[in-house]
Amino acid sequence: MTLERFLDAALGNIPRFFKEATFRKEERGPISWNFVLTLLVVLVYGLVMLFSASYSTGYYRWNGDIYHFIRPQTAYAVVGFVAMLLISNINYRALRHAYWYLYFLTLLLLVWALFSEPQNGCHRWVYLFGNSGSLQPSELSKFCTILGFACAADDHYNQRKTLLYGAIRPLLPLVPVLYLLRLEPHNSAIILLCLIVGTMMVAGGCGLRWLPLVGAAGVGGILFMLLSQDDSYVAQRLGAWSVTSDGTSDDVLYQTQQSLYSIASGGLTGLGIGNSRQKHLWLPEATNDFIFSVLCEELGFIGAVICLGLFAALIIQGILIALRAPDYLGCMMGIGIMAQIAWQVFCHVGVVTATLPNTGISLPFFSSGGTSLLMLMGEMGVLLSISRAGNARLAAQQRHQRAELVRRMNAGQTVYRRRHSTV
Amino acid sequence: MAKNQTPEPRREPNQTSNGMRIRTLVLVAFFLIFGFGLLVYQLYALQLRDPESNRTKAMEQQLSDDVIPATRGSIYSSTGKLLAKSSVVWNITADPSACNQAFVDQASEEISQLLGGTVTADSIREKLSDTSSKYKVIAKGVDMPTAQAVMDYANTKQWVDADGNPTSADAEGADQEKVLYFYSEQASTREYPYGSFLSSVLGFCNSDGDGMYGLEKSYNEELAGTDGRSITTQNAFGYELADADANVHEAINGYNLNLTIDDNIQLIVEQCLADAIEEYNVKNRGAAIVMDVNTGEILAMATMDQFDPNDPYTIQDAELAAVLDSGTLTPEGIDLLQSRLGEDAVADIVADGVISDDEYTTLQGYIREAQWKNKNVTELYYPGSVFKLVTASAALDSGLMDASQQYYCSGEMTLFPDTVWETSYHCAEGKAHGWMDMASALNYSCNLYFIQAAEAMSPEFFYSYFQAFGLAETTGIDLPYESKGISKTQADMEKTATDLYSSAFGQSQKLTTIQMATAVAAVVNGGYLVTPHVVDTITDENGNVVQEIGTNIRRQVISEEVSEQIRAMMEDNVGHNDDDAYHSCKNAYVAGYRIGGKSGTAEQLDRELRSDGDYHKAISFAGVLPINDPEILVFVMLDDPRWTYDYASQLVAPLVGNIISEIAPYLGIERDESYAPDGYVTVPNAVGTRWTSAQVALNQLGLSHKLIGSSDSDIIYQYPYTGAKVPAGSTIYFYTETDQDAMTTVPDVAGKTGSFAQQMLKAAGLNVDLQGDENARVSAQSAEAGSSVPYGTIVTLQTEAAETQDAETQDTESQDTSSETTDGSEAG
Repeated sequence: MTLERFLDAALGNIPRFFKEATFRKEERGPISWNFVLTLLVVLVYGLVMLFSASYSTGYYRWNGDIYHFIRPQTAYAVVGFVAMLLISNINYRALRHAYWYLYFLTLLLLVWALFSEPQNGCHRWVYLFGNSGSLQPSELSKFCTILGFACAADDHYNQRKTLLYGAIRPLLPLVPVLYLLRLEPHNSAIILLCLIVGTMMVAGGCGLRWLPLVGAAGVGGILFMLLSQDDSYVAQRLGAWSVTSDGTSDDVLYQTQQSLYSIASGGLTGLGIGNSRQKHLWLPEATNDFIFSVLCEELGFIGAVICLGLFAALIIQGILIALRAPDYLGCMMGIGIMAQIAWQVFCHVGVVTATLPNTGISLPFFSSGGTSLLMLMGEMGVLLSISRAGNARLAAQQRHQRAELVRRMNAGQTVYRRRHSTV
Repeated sequence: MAKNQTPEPRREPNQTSNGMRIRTLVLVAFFLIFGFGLLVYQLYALQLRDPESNRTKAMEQQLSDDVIPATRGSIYSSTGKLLAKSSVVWNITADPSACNQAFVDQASEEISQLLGGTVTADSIREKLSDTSSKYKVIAKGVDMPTAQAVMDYANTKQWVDADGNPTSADAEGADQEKVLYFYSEQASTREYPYGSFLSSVLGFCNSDGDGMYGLEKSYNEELAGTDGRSITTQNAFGYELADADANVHEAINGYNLNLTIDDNIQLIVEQCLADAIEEYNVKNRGAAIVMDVNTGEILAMATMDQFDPNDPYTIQDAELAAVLDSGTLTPEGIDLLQSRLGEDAVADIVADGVISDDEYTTLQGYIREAQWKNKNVTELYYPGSVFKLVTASAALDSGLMDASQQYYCSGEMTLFPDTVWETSYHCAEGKAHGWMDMASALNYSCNLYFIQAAEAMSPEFFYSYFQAFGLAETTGIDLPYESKGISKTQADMEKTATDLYSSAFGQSQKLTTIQMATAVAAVVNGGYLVTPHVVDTITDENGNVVQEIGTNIRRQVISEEVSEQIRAMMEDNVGHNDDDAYHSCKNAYVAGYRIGGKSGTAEQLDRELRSDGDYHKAISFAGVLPINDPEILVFVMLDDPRWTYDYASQLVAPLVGNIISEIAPYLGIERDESYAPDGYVTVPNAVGTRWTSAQVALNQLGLSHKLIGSSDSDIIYQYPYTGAKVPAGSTIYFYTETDQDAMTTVPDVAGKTGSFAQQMLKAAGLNVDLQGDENARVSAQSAEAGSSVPYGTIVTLQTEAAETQDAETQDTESQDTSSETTDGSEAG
């Protein structure tokens, strides 16, 4: 019996997943093409900027290969786009059953990363197939956390306002993830995860009354984590934030300074696409953590505001999709996904403008990185799946309303007509 | 448990509440308004409101402002010899902080080898191991191929493993990385191919390439050129960006200097001066000037001993270096330092007889400074009796007296007797000259005559001529650190008679030799005070003349007639070796030339007495030729000689004669054949004497002389021998190191014209006795062509024309002569 339970927990979810994976016909509406269009614009904008920002680094650091960054990124974008459209056909509700698999896979990869070769002293990558494919488990952990929190809140929907079911239980699986991320170390991912679950708690009304307590615990935990670190890594980064104008040899300060140089060089209209000077190795991580600086330098204030505007549009559209979801689970998942994008944009731009302390956070759809882009596109697929269900329900509601209207307006008319309309 | 076993009922999905929708929308609104709003504001602040500071800093790091160094101009002698040149070299620097330390050992060895061992591997290793440094100079002044080789080596990527250690290409995890961070920068070095030759005039450059002394300083601006600049956009590695709008201003290379100084004359003068300094034990160097009296062009300017401008900080004077390093001071050492550096300057240092560490540094600085000084323009001396030329000219030109004016010389004149101001003047060796006119007063160098002449002129006239001769100001020569001299003014002389009297014969003013030479030039050239100069033209790198330093006549000081009168007196001083009359400067006579001169033996009144109780001396001589139409002035001064006697007429006059005997033929100075001895002269004995003094007799006889061996020991052998009769103008060979003849091969001159054959034989080191017409062809030569004979052998040439015209007598004579020479050579 125990074995049966175990098998059920271990394998039972697989048939359950496939059973629920397809949309029932009445639940399968069209995807939100407006959102796809906005996403496409962001994606193309991102690819163009990445090519501009990366060719110099590619040339100097990768033996003259100016396509070193853009080639795989474009491939991932195309693959990711197709994957997104495919995933949009999977009923997001089925993902509930995949959560624990995903969770343990994430933990496994996070542990594996700790034993992989470090880069700059951080164990953030897992290497597959020799050195040819690398994977960042922390990207996976973001979606995993979103899914996990949504499921947990949905499972105990009625008790979601209590401390136990609204906060402690949904947050419990997060603890080992955060701990492993801490060991990597990958502080930016930790902060992002906290921000995402925080947002989901507030929006989803989970343990709302206990929110100040949970919030205080979260903020306290993060502060403790940052300050208790023995090396000066974080202290440096925090220090660099407050001192943005003095020149020191400190690496982190140097990054922030170079970023400010780039942004200031841009002015209103920028130097023109491709004309950044800072990207010629002055700006560290121009292809990733500081890609927005290059954008500011080349396209100026106008280009930067357009970029933020596009992200704002994407966020609003995404949130509306989430709110139109037919159920609480989809709504929470949509909110979580969009919170991830929103917070990543905010933190990335905040860091490059020295509004926030320097912690490496990539800009969604812009920064170089295959795992990140594929995960994001996958999440977009989930969101589109939610949009299918939402749109289907909306269409059903509209039909129902129209029918109701017609019924009311045609009260006393022949019955066959009404019957006809409900088909 | 049972509950779990039952199949799960299909759960109805939980519905979203309106509260949740509102909360979410409010959150999104807050996020977009405040979050994105903050970011947009931040962008506005950075990009639009005050971007300047960051933008400027960005520019500063992005733009590389490279200096393209201009090549410093060269310096050429008047014959076109390259005396100073700059060449482009490369300095190699490294950033040790960026270098992979695991490779430092191997790299040090390799690079040391590439540099040809000029830098040891150990020193490179030491520099590269200093990881706290971002900039270390590895090698300076290497040529381009070497620099290229080093840079190629340093830029080669090496296989490293994950920990950055060297590994092989096929090792696991091996990766190619740049492990050394080397840079090369262009620089230039200054080279002086002839070492210390002319160094007191050329000067030298400091390590930054700026002229410090000499011409390098005075013409620094012209020589330096203008550095170019290259402003380009660069990446963080310092590489220029390919698409950068480079803004390049090419360097304008420095101009070249073409000197009036003739290196051949300079070489003769430097050698003669160095020999004299050595022989007469001159403590405070010697100075010599050869000057074109009409144009002010300096043909030679020597200060001996000199320094090596390639290595200006090394003390070249071995004696001084020994004193400096000895630590304790002997009386001789103190004497040398006092003479060389000034008694006051070294008073503190020599007081305790020990050179402490502090004093060592001070003293080293003094000595370096002293060796760099051009004695001719910077250091002052008492002109002594040479100054009487100025007094005499002034007296005649003022019209207050004429040359026939006689004064009485009693041998001594005492002013203010029996007072504290008592001063007595007397002539050299206390002689009383009696009544004499100006010419004999100049010849006998009578101090009392010129005191009375100055008295007759009054301070007003005396001093105005003093000023007119440019003695109260600098000459304006194009060399740095020229001194102005120290002299009594008219007011001083009016107040104190002794100031006037002492000035009249050069014992109260201290002048530079160039001031005195310029004044003497004015005395003899018709009265024109010219500005001396060592640079003739300044040309650009393509040879176009940019500036010509022409003759600058500042003023006419005395009339042509007075100049002529003085010249006659000066010629009488030297005489022609053809009478028994007294000629005080006869040691300067060189047969065949009309030479005028004046010697001056000055007592250094501002110094303590010598150990022998006499004053330290400054002895000088001004020789002018041809004195009837002056072209060149040879001016030599020896400061503080220590010898058995120290009169200028005995030490400096012969020296000037020696110089004239070598440079006058070279310059083609007009000979006066009436003074040139013809026929045959008897060779005097020189064995057992110094070359410097041996020359004097030969100069006067019209014999040339060549020294084989060094000039600092006695002559032990000569050829032709003492007493031999040789044709006037023959060259006598002196040997100081061997009593064996040096041999030369007789060229075949048959069929050549007489004069051409003469030149060929002279070039081969042979003397010629030409019988017959020099334009006719040679029919016979006494020494067989191809035979080996001693240098100086007299070869008798017979020319065709002579043979046909006057065969009988010529034959006899030539046979006589040739038999004589043959005897001579057999005896040798």
